[in-house]
Amino acid sequence: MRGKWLKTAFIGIVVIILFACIASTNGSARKVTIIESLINDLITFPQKGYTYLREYVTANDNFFVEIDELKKENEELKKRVEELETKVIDYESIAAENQILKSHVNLVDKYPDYTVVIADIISDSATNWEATYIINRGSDDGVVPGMSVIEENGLVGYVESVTANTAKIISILDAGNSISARVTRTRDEVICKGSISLAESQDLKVMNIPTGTILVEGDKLETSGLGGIYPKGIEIGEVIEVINKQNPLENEAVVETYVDFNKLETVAIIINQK
Amino acid sequence: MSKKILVGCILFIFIWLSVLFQINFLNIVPLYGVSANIAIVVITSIGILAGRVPGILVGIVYGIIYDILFGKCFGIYLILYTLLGLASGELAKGIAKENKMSLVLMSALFTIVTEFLTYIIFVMIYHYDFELLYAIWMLIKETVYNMLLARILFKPLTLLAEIINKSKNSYYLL
Repeated sequence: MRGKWLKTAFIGIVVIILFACIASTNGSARKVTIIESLINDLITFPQKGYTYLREYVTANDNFFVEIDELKKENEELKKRVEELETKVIDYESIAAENQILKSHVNLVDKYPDYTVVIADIISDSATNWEATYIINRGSDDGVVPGMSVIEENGLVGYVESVTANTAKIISILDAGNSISARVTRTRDEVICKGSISLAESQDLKVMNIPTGTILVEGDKLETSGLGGIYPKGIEIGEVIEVINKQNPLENEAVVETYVDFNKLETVAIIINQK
Repeated sequence: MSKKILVGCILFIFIWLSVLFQINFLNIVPLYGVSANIAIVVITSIGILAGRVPGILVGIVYGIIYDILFGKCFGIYLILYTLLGLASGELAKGIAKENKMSLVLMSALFTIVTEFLTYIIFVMIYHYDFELLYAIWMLIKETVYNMLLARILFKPLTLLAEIINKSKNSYYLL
């Protein structure tokens, strides 16, 4: 009897506490207690992680499926890039070859009076005091010593010696080489000479300027045909500096050659005049 | 006998490769407009490290090749490089051969002497303008380049000299 009463009293107390809790927490803006907050965090923290993972996997549900395809695509693209790179190299080579052939055609058009043999330069001088070249044409191709060597832009030099398949050229930049030249504007004759101090800048020195000859910057020089080595009318270069001295006989000028000797790859040897 | 021939062949191949190196690399990569001269470095080194006679023989081979390939007439480089081989062999008797620096400095000295003589000969024979100051400036640049080359080639040249020295009198069969 006593136990039954106690049970009823306990239930009654619990109900009252619950009602009290309901009454105390029922409000539009109530403050969360520490215990509530603790329990809430305990549950929501792992739940947040789980939700994040679920969303990630759901959003990228194609990830694992596509990775193989991407790998395959990557391989194909790599192959394609390689193919294109090879093609670019081929095109560059063809373009360079085309440029050389074009220069040959231009050269033949520019000097129609001459029969020429086209040659490639295979070596240049190993010493710093000489400006010589070796070409891949020799006596078998009709090349003999003393022949003039030209390029699309102008005079290169002359053939010094030949073997059956090669020839040695002395460049106009060689300090021991002199060229009888004519000023295109005034038709005056002057002597052009290579110089070690001007070789690096690919310039020539004009000496023996006759008194009365006035050279000005921009004057063009061509071979005069005198001297027996170079035929008449081949362009040499342009005056870029005139050095006037007290004695007019010592006046000098600097000529920039038309030929770019640093990029010289192909030359033409004048075999004979048509 | 076969060993001596083999040494001669090795030496000739080395010279041949060095000339190709000169044409295809050193000429294409000039330092301030000046190329190094591998012939001077090799002749000097062989003269110093292997003695007078190998130096002379290497000088003769280089001289002939340079005269044929690059020279405007035959004989100038032959004489100069033969004398270079002789001089380096003679003057190097008191030099510490295993010292890299002595080889580099001797290369510098012989570069100056050989190239200056070459220039003077060219002035006399080919009527070059006598531009002494500019010639000296070029010599300085080439000397620095040759010193660098001598330092780089020290090991292979030492090895080559060792091969020559091991094979007694091998140079007579070159």
